[in-house]
Amino acid sequence: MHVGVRIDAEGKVTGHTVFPTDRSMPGMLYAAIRWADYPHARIVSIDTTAARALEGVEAVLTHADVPGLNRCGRVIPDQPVLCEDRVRFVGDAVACVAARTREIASLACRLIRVEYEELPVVDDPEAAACPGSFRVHEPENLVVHRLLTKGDVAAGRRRADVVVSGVYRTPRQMPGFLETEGGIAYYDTDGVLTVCCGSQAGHANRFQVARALGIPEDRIRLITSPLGGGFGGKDDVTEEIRLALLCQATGKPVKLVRSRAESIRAGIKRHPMTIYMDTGATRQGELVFQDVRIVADTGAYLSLGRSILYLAMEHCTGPYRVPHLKVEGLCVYTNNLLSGACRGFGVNQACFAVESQMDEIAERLGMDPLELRLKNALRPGDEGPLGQSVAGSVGMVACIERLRESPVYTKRHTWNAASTGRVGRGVGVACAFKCVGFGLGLHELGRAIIRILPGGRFAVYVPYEDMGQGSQMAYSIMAAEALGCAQQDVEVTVGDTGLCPDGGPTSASRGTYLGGGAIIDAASSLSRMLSDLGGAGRSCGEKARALGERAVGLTAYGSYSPPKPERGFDGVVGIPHSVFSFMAQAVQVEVDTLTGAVRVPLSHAVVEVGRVISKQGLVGQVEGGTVFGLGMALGEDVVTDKGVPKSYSLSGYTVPYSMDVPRTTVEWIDEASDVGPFGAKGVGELASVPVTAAVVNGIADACGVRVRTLPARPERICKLLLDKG
Amino acid sequence: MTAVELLVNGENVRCKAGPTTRLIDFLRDELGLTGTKEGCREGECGSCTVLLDGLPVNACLVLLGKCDGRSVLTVEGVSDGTLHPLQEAFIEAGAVQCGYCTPGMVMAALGLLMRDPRPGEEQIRMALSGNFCRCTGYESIVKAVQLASERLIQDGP
Repeated sequence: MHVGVRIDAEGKVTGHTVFPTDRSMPGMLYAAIRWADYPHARIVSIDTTAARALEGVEAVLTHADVPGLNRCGRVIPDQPVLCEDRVRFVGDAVACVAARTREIASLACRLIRVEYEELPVVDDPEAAACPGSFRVHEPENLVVHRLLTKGDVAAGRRRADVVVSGVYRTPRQMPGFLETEGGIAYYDTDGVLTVCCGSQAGHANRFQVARALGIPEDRIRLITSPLGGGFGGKDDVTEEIRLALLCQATGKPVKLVRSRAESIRAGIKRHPMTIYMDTGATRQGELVFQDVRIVADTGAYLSLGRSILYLAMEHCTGPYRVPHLKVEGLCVYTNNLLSGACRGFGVNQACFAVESQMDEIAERLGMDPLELRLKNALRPGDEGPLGQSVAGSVGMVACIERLRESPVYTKRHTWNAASTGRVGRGVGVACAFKCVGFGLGLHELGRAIIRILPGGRFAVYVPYEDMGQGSQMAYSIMAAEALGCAQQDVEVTVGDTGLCPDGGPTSASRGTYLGGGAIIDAASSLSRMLSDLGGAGRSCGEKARALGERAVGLTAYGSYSPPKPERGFDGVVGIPHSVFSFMAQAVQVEVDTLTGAVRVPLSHAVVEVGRVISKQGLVGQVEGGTVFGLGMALGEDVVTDKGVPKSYSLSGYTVPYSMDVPRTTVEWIDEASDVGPFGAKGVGELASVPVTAAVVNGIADACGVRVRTLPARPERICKLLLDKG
Repeated sequence: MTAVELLVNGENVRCKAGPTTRLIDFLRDELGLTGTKEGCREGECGSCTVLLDGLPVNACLVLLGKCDGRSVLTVEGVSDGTLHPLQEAFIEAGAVQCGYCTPGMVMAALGLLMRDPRPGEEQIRMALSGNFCRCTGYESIVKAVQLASERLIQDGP
């Protein structure tokens, strides 16, 4: 495989890359949103008279002005674009305004008079799931409730010599992309309503725009890339619909960018989950059963909450053989902030619980924590966690064996012994797996188009947006390999519904996998087409050069349909999965037992993601993912009080900066998987998963307290240390 | 509104500033220099870092009136057609992912290298500690600054 050049980097280091929120146009209007004033209230009346009368205001829209379906939401359209009679969380929009300046737009928003009748705030998901709770939505708050079983948990319990039980609580982490949601909408010269707004799902969100505006999808174009970070938070619709509505209403270009405060208020967060988990093992350290209950707080609307809950349920065993499994999942509406896709998609929460328990089992049995993991690790040919068939490489054992040789692990006793006075030092390990692509029952077809350009060059169109993960780089490397040309001879376009085919969202760690598969397919069609024209040579590159002008404009379409398990569960869509990536990680941890402050100086990660397409891309994902998971472990949580964030500012949210992060060494098992393009799988989400539990296990090793509620902030550690005495 | 005169990327700019006009809005909206990014508008994320008389500042926290008679360097002014060694190092070290923090990181690092051409790793991390990056985990950015420092010293003044 080629070394690979990051083709988008030059524009980014010079500041010339134009992001959606950088764009402006002559005659452009500025938009602002009137958000809900309460987390839960009935709307009695909305009076826009004063706002409309303000000089410079060009449109004031309420629910009455939405021509199509006044709803959004990828799976169930349960969220009003503009609320009619009720607000269900502080990020609900009641009205939106377009005006000549930002200042006029926000003044107009303040002039809108909304009369409310407050309703009880439902903020405890477990209470909300009970039949007597006040309902956020009819007929009940419990929007998803599933029980999945494998084997016989009662029999498994009887075989168990040790059983560990725990309740684990995970924080409301925000995706934390640096470019907030928003962009610009305008009519192009052909009258196509163009919405340029950073997103991970151009085609799916174009459908949502069309549904709300009541116009055909082919009259709408979404330009969604490049974007200043996504991490799941730009998977479902953000401001695309309100941008389009205001542009449709005024006929003028409209710019709308969420402030950071608005992003905290209305944007997607990681589902806070409460996980009740029992895991049992024999005296020899063989896992025999797991009994799990997961309650996920989806906030006021579902977004992708159903699939996220399902992934947490599928991954709660960890990458281990667990013969008997019972897992109950509940996804519950509340008046809390909106939960949805966030890097790892439910797997991070599940991993934190199971990997905490693996360490507790090891301690109870007096086993080395890595040996226990190695003993139970999934191996090639094993069934998946839900009894499904697994396709492609299964490199968990290789990752653990490699991690066992890493300096962080081999020198763990030296590090332990270096504890002094108030400073405790420990090493934590954790393993993880993460499905690649969509599960059984969801439509999944990767698509790509390749067109021959003059001068022996190729244009490649793939839907999957580049949100920083480097999809353009990966596609140019794979296209060059498939076409037999230089990487510089490939021009990649992503994230534009006007140019790229519909291949579904850029999510589920599937960008490389699906896009690459479709590129290979398109290249092989193109090769046949070139041969039919009489082009001689071994590759598309050679054949196209031989044909010269005659080949220019030739266009091939490719698709890729990844493998799925043969059978799943009645009525359950989106699990199980067939392909997984694997990772093992060890971290050094240092706890100041006086202040509760935790430092993580070193980390060592080993991943098995199939064939590595770009080493630099892989290392960047693992280093960045590690810091993402570290934030979840130690500081990140949007704390709310009765549905209202206690802080609307980045200064009230503890993300890791350059002084707070470990030096991470990254290794990979470079083994081609027998599925996926050139044997590649996916890494983007997995990289964020194991470190959270590894840090928590390291804290336990360093000072003897087990953190079961994240984040492990200093005050929490201090409390646990005090309780321990 | 009061008349203000400043240098932006070496060019003389005359404009009017009100008591609430921020440097970031002037750069992005009036001059179209959108390389300076906005991530929080409260000095937390560092995406809008520019050099004011050679020192890194958050353009969202600087009033335009404060820039009267002073010199502002934005990311657009760092390269004159060919990439600055620091920009090359960012590309080579894999320090660029989504790229939204990159201009601010480049400016904070440039400010450091101007003050101290041979910074140690800790000094680099300290100099970048006001700049938030969600993608890279900072490791590759620190390496890029080290690489640039080595090359700038080799190449001489």
